[in-house]
Amino acid sequence: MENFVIQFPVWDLKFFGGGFLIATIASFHVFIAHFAVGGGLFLVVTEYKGYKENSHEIISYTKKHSNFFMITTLVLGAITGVAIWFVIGLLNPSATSFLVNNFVFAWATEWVFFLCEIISIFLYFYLFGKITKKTHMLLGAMYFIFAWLSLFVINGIIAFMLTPGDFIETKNFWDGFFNPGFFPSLFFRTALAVMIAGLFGLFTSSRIDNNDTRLSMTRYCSKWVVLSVIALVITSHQYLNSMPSAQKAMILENSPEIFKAIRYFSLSLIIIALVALLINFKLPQRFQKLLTVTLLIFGLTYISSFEMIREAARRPFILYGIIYSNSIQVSKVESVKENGILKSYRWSKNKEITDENLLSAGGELFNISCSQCHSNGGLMNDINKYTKDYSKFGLEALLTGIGKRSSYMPPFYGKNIEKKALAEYLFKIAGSHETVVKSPVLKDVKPHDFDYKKDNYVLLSWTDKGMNYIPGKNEIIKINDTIINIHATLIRRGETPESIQDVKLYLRFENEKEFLPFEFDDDTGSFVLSIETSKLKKNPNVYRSADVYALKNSESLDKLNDVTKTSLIIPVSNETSCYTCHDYSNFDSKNTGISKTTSFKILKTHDRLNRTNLFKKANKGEIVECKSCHDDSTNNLTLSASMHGFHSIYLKGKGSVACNSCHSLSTNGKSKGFRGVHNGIELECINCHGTIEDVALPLLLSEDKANKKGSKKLIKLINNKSIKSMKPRRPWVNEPDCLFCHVDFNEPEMSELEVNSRTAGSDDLFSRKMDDAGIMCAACHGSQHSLYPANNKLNNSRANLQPKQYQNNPYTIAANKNCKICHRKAMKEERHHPNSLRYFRNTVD
Amino acid sequence: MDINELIPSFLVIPQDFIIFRSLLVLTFFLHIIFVSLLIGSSLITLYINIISKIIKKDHYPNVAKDLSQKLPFILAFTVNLGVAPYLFLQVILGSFIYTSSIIIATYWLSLIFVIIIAYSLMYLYKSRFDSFPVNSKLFVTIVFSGLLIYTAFIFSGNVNLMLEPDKWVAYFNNDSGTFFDITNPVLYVRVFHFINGSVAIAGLFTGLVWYLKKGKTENYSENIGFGFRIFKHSTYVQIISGISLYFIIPEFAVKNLQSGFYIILTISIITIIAALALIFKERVVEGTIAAGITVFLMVILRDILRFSYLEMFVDERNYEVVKQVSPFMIFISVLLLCSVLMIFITKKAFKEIR
Repeated sequence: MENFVIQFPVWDLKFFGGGFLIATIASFHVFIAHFAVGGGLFLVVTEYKGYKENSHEIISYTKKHSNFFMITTLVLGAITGVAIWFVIGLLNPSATSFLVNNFVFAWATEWVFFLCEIISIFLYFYLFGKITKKTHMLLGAMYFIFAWLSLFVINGIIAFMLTPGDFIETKNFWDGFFNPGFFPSLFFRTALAVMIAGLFGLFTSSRIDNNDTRLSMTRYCSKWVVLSVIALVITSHQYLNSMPSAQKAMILENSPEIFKAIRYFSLSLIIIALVALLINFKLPQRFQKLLTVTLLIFGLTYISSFEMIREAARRPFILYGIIYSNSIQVSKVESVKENGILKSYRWSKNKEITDENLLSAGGELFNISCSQCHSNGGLMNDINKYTKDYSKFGLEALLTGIGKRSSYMPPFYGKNIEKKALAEYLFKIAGSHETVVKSPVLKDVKPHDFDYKKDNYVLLSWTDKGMNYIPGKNEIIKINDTIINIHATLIRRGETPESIQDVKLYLRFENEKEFLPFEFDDDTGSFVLSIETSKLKKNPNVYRSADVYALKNSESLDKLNDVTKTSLIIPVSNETSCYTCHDYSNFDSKNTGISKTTSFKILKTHDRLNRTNLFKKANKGEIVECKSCHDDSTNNLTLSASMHGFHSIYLKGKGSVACNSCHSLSTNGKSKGFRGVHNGIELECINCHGTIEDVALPLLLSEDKANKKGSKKLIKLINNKSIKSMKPRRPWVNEPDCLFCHVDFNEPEMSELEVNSRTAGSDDLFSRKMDDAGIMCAACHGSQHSLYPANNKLNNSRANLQPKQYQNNPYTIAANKNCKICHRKAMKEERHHPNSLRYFRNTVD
Repeated sequence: MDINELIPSFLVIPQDFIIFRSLLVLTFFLHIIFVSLLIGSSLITLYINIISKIIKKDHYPNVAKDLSQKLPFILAFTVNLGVAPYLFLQVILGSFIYTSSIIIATYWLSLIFVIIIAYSLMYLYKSRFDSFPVNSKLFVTIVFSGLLIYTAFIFSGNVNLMLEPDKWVAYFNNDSGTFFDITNPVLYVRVFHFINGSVAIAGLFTGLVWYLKKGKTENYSENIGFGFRIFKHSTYVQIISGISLYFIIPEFAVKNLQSGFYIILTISIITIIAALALIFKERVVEGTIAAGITVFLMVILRDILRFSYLEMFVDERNYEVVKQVSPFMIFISVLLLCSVLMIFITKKAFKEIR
């Protein structure tokens, strides 16, 4: 029964979530609390100065300042301190109770010191001038000592939250209290307390009416500020350097919100130092007063940004290495994984998730897992700001990858159904709507005629890829080479057919007039026409049909009726579906490519994660070409390794859905690019390619061998158990090998990829391979992903054009022993490849 | 629903249960004295201002002024002395108090702002006492007394809800921290018993303050009489409200009470009668001590009653104890040394004034 890990109910704060309460109360409290410490020293030293200089004005100022000090610190400091305690108890009772139960005697000791502070300051203020100077100053000194001791004690607990040190192993009070951050933090906070005392000193001394006294006192206070600024620079560096590497990395590299806080932290200190120096000059009182208020504001900014950095450095924990910010103890993670979040939550309303309570469970999951740091539409950390660009699928992927690449968030340890429920809820509260992608309506295409008796030639043509990326209009990101290679082979029919080279081949797109000439390519033994896709007209923007004409010497382009010709489909699409996770809020169901807004958002993410400056570049109008960095010639990962590697973190375990979510192959997408025979027999991408992890990891292993930046990190993040058995591979070189399944060109006995069964080199790729007679495989079988018999779901007339032209069926050229297409008669010898003389297995209606 | 399933697991405690329970009782005693002084003194000043307004003449002006000067300081000590018992309560009954606080979170957190406003008004009242017209005084005292009563109400509501986990199921219908069990009659009687008791203690305090000023200032005897009269009348009412409270407490909690409770109850009745008698005979210091003992016994009774409420859920044998010896010793040593030091320095300072 005791599977419960999340013990306490969660207060649904809605608008006021996301740390708003703690941030506002804590900033104010720490400001006052540090003043309470430094101010004590300021009082007693200033009083001493007054006596030493025998200055009635200084003594009188000290008394007035002590009144202000007492009112500000004693009650406001104490009540806001209690307020923080209340708030953390309400928002994160698990962490609070952990701290209280482990450090109760430290807190109790601090309480005693605080009680002594109250008594000392009351006596100090009310007996000012009524007792001996010595006793009075002793009271002041006692106040300061007790205040500093309070800081000493509370500092141990606060520093513990960030750097628990050996406590994690030993659970020993003293290991936790005198943790690695204890002294650096104590020195820093002491310097901070002195600076704030100086700032408040300036605030009150600027109100002294006597010009000389005012000038002398503001100069005196300015020294407090300037000297402590120097101490702060030293101690803050010391504090940062004392931090264990993980926390230090979180500050300097990993936590995105920290950068702003660091900027405020540094800038405010510079401003404080400059203003404190400026105030040394004789200035009009009104101006001086204004400056001191400014100083207090910057003092508050400095301390708030420091606390923000400290909080952020602790991520993704509330107690570093002990409790995640969403109350899940590190030691109980396995239990949560096993039972799911809702069953680990004592107060769950939806123990089981059904279709009916999906949203309600999602809301509950949000409260349990996210609301500690994120509000719903509130002032701080509004979750919708981060989720509005995701589709439901994207949100699920986000939850899979959360806490991995961006290690400032805790991982989502819920079950898949909980991921789905939370995604559903996040999608709803972001105000998103599902947008259905519409496929274009394509006109029918008729195959050309072929007469077995009369025609002397067979013209075959195909593209070297099953789908070619075609960039959208004004696209900012250029993700890949955009060359389509169209091949063609002209065969003279006869008992011994012959491949003809002394001929001119041209291609003309549907609805266009221009004839594009092919060149003969010795390597492939075929004619090749390479086209830059950006030069293609956009209509239609998928599956463009074209005719190929073979002109003998006597023939001309003016009279095409009797010319040997065939038609083919050139599969193009701009469908990358990046919007699914990067720009869903702007997706209009039409532009499935990388729109301008999508590009900007992707680049911003890239900049954030990799410290690049691509958004700025793109904003100036420059095209961002991925391969300019992600290339073999650089120390960066190749584009394929980087894209598959990074997205594996999010799409892990998704099988073919992962492939379909980006590539234009999905049956739900616009282009439905996976249309060949393998699709017809219900194979999926992963049957040949493996999962996204299987695709990414061998690529990354290869990059790692070349010591490429970032490969190790991604390998670790994908964290696949089977990695040890994987061999490195290169993109576009080591790809699925047909003959792995079709052993000796036979019917396969298995349909699962063995992850290392890939082509040995690029010459073994299906797109480059030839049969024993020197004909390229794709000439008869069609391009990969659209192998005959293909089924084009947008318009099936745009599939199998050549099989239909030459044999009036959709099967591989010369299937079903139809050798006569080229040979003019039936053949008995398997000249092309073993097992070619047989009947087609996967027939279609 | 099995209510036991809702109760969060108990954490390891760093000393024996009894140590925390004793520390809780001792520090709560100090806290409740100051809370009572705060609320009682506020209500007495309010009462004086109302009468002054009605009779169009300053009613016990010296008493009002004296209390006005003390209120902000009493508040400061009240807050500080509240820290320790709340801390020890969290250690042994955190599973209950965190939960009930979350269920009423909005009201619970509102106390912070309420107390800050109350403090500001008390400070205003203190510093402007001589210059404020009666209407302003009346307004200010109405507001801060109201805020303090609200605070008492929410505190009592929380510690009551904490004792009745079967009421926690309210969270399932309202998780926004705005649930408050206003239907519980115990709450009203409890708040009344507490506020009335506070007035009694503040009355005794007023009488004692002016008794100590005997001969040093004017109108002291009237003021002494005024304070002790309040103490006397409130104590009578307190005895009645205490009996009512006993009869309104749920049966399951009363059933768990054992003879120890009744013995202490009997002793406390004797001590309060003794306190009244001693005050009548102008043996003020002894009377005050007897009243103090009564309050202490009441705090013990409150503690016994709390655990009888929770008997189904709390068994001290179920707590895992991993003792922190040196931190505990340091706390006790600091407490003792600091007490000695503060007594010494206070005495020294006051001696110098004389």
